[in-house]
Amino acid sequence: MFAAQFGSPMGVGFNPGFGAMGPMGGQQQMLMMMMTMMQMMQQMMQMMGAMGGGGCPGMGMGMPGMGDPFGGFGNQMGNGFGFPGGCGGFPGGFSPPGVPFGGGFTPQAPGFGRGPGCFGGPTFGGVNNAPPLGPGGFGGPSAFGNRLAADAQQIAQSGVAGRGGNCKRGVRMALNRQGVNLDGLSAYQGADQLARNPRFREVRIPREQLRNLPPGAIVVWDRKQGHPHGHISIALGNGREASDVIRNQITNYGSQFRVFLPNG
Amino acid sequence: MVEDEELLPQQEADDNQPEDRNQLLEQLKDLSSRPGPAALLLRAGHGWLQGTLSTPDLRARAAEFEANLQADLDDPLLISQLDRLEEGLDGELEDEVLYALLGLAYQASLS
Repeated sequence: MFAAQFGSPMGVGFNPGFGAMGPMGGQQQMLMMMMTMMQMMQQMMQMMGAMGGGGCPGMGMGMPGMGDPFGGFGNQMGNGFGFPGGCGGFPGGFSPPGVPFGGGFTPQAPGFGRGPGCFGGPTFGGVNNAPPLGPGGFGGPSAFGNRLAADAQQIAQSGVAGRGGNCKRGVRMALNRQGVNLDGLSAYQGADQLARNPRFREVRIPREQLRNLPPGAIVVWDRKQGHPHGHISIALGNGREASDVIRNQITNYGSQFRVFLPNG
Repeated sequence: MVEDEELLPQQEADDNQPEDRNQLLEQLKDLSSRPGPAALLLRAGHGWLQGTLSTPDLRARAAEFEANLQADLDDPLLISQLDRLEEGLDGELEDEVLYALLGLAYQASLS
């Protein structure tokens, strides 16, 4: 829609919202207004890119304050104008009736507006300002972490959560026993929830450190091709992880991961 | 060597169903009937949860279990469940006691 509006020859034909204009002055005035709008949008897209975190800036987030006209902006403008994007955005966006640029709300349903192979969207990416941790920086076991790990281990051992296909269920049950809720259908959706939970702190560690995590540390992997839910697990402190089953800590899932250490 | 991720089965979405407490009680009953270092404590705990055993009696069983632990035992997850059991009894928190006993059962079977 946006591309169609700008794709039409300047000053030709219908001129909505700009009032009466002379043939020449109207064209110049319209050109200036459009350039101003382009500059404003570029600034907004840059802001969105900065806020978007890892993965695909501009993907699926919509644009605050904008609805339908720019809903598919990431797709249409992503490459040709050097804006972040290329992973879709939510086609059409959302505009309440009678609010041409209003709303600014884009549903964040899983997979909405994402092209294949594009992961790390707003429900996973967030803004990862977590400090990088070196070896020995985990701070050792915590009472909360020990209990969480023991619960996760017992749940996985009992088989009540599944047999390897529902990691989210096992982790969710273990967290519930500690009074922590984990909503959503998919494992990857846990990342942003844990990032907001004061009982955890997010850290950045290299992949090869994952098997050194203390008990109760949670690793969340983003989706990837063939794995639409991603993966989540609780470290047991011995290089193993528990979810709905117990296995060696996965280090090679093949997508982005986020790590959350238990506090206290 | 087979990579871990290759072992991942077909994924399912979480149904978000809460744990079934009756099922957990059944689990505890089943675990308490198996021989092991925690069997007496688990039986006592099941009795406490059913209202047939007093809190002091369960505390006594827990103290016996702790005393019988090997001196060199250093399993932080097991210790965490004992602490949790004590806190659960202090606060009369049935769920905490249940979870602690289940955790103990598993940890004790490893030690």
